[in-house]
Amino acid sequence: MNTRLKLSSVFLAALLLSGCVSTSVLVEEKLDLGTGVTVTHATAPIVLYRDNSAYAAHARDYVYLGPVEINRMGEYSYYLWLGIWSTISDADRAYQRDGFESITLYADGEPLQLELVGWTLESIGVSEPVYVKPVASAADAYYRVTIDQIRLLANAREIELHAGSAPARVYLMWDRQGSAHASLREFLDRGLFGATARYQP
Amino acid sequence: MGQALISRLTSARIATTTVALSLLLFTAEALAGPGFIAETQVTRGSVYAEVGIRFRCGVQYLGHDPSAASDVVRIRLETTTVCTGAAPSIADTKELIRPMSADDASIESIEYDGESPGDKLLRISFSEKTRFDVRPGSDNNSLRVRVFLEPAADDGDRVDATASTRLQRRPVAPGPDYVINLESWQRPPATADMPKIALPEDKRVFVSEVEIDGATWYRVRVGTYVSAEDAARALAELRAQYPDAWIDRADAGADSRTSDTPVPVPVEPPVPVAASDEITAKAAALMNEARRAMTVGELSRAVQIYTKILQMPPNVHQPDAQEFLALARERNGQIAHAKAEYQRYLDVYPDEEGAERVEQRLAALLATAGTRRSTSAAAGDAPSGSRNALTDGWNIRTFLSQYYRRDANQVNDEEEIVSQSSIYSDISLDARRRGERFDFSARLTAGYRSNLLDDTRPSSGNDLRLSYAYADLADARTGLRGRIGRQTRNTGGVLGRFDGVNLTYALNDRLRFETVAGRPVYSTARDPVDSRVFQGLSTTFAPFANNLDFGLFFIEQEIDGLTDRQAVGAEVRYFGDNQSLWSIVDYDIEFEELGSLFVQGSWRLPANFTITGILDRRRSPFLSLGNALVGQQLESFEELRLFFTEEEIRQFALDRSASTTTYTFGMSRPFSPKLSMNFNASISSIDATPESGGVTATPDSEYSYYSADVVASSLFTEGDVGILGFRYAVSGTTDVYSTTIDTRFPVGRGWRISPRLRIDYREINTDQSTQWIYTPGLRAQYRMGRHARFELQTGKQFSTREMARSDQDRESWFVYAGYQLFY
Repeated sequence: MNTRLKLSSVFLAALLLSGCVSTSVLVEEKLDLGTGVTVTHATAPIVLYRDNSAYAAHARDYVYLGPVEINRMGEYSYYLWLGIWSTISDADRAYQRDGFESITLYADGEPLQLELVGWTLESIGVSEPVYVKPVASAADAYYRVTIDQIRLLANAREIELHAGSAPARVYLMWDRQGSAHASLREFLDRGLFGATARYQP
Repeated sequence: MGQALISRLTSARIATTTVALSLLLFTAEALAGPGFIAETQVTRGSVYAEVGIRFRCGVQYLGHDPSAASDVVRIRLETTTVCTGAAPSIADTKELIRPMSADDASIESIEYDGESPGDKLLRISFSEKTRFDVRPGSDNNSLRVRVFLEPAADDGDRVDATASTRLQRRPVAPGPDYVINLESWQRPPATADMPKIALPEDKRVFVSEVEIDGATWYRVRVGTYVSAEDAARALAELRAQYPDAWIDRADAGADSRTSDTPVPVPVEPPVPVAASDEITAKAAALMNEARRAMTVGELSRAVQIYTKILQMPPNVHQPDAQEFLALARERNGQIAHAKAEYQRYLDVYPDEEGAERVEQRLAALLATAGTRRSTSAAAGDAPSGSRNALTDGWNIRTFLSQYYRRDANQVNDEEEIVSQSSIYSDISLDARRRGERFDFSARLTAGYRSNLLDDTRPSSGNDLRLSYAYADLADARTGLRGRIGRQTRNTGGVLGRFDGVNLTYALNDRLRFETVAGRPVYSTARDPVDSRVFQGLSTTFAPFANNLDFGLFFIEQEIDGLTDRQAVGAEVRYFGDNQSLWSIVDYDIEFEELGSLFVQGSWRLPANFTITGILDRRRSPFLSLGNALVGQQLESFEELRLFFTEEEIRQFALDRSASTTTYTFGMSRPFSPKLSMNFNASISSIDATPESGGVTATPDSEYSYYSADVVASSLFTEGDVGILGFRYAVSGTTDVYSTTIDTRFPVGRGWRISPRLRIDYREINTDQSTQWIYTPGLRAQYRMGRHARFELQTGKQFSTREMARSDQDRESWFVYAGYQLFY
């Protein structure tokens, strides 16, 4: 193991330790100081992936998927954040976003057609990033959803994402994501069970 | 020369057109973004579906037409200037949406027209002629539309099946407890209705009472749980028995009365003789109506009517209503409910003449539990073609896509060469059937490429690709799940697609054990050419702690009777408030070498700076004994064994598997809600490989790049985005400087247009030449309704390479055009 590898390992181990010792919650709620809205999001996003073997044997494209609740003085709106990134350094980043203007999410086979709201924080009316970017070059995409759609995703055993048509790109759910599911359930609990449960029979 | 001139003129026209189109798009009006309709919600009951529509501004309901059944309803509204999260002018726009679960209310679309000079109009289109009712919401910015699912003679006899739901959130009380709502009844549950479940000592079953929209509901609940997560875990275990159970806060039913259980709620037999003639007559009329509903297969409606009769004051028709209620539920496939209703009959009416008959029915149900549901459906007892039949039965989804791709290039003035002209067709079929206990699904995904060129090269012919062909069965009761066929897997040491079987046992919500066996599939277009087989074991702890998932695996793969790879590994995934880390390590214990190590981490610092890093070290190709074939003039591993010893082959495999290491570092920061920047640096190296077994050595190499991107939105119109990128890449032979401009514009409701331009300048060190490359492109995507999308992508590349003795001009272009259909 060369020196660079050792140094990197030490750095990343330190990152891991610092992360693990910090107090972690499944759902984070914070005040966006720039706009005054309250932003709630699941801490652990769902990870979707796509083997990009046409580019390289080990190349994978990833999409992180997480819900966002925006509370504007009691007016709630819900979004899905997608963090789109790849393990390979695609020379033309334009292609990274292709097809994500209109996507289809399949939650246990139930199709959810989602339209892009925007690529920047402006589109959801906040001034600070909601989710931590997996890599700096990741593209953030935001889609307007209902809490029902989030509930479908939270209860789904399998989630699949289709983006683009020529060609179609299909992202599958990474195996075993206990934290992400727990995080989504907690998000729903705070956003839904507190109120609408009262109106269920 | 003439051709070159024409070509340049053509290129100039394309460039001009692209620029002109871009300018046109800059001024195009954008209709994307949140509209006047803030939220819709469809809640389906047995009798009607309720559609809640909430607006961004206050609305006053003026009226609607027609009042009779129709496939469209126009609702007249007046809007106020009291708006939330939007300017009042948003009420003067147009909008077309389709709510989630729209099919449950037969809704095709909801269209709002605020541009008309008179009243604002909300138009709801249904897929069929439908009866409806429109009411203003309880607040001043919503409407409630009830869509009756079946024709009825008298709306007054309807029984509310569900109450509306709302999306507003109430303030969360600190530290509440949670309960699981197993079932809800419109009458006090009897002994037979109480759940037969084993509970920890600190949990109890109780019944609470709540009034919703004037109707009293009796909720059978379990609790309490100190956290929603605990409740969710318990709910997962109860889900098989109570598929409709949900979680509530313990304090949500402030009007509840509770009693400890397992406690049967006392059931008071009704006194039939107490009924008045009027009640008896009404009950008789309802019985006739219910019987007609049963006859024509409207089972859900029959259930509602029988329930209504049982809620009336005691009368002589109630024993029959109780029996037929159970029968209706049984025929409707609601076996658990049917059993409970039969049992209730025996508890309440033990001396009735029908008791013996009901006892026999209940016994039959208990004896055939698990098979009765499907038998009933197959026998056609369920309403033909009804939505329930679809929901309770198979759910089949189809995805179809086709696209055409053409690539052509031309060097200097030579003839244009078309390198590809193909049609790619892909189809995916998903079938699923969910039962009370078992969840079955199957998938078939295949693709076909039609080569339209007269090309005899093997690589350019037609080919059929089979990506997925599997069946999957999950048993909720035992926690077992199995999948067999062509599938993919990315954890447990499995490297993607394989033909085989995967078995999972979930001990609880956190701990899972898996075993997997099969043959790796390296190409979806060809049958496996070697004899590799593998088997593996893995376990996952997820979540191991809050937001920390952890997994371990062992896998062994054989090739031609020898160990191809034998590895152990681990995966750690962590997401914190401001950090994330993901690591996968694979160590080959046969070669005693690191197969791969992938570590990705990110950390959000103060001032919204985010730093990220990736370390990726692996053997490439992935370390395995079969790599010894790389570079050999032999066709199979079997042949290789004829010429070399196992020890030699093992060394050749190591020699051919070069170590590659990539370090990537990045930093990003938003400078305003409309503007963000990121910077990335990456260094990759590939180690040299020695000469061995007749295969020549390869030198080491290094590649690095540095890039910066600026992302800005709403530059020219709302919803647009522009990305400006700079990149500098260095390899042993070439230095490349690149600039990219990528713009994206929403146009109207369905179009998205993306003009883009990339300019590269290359310094080629091998011959000291330089090269300019210009690549304009255009991409358009159009969403055609809910079930189709169309995409067109085209681009042209012009390059000029200046060499010592001559220049070389090259042009190439491509076009992709395709569509997707979903059903």
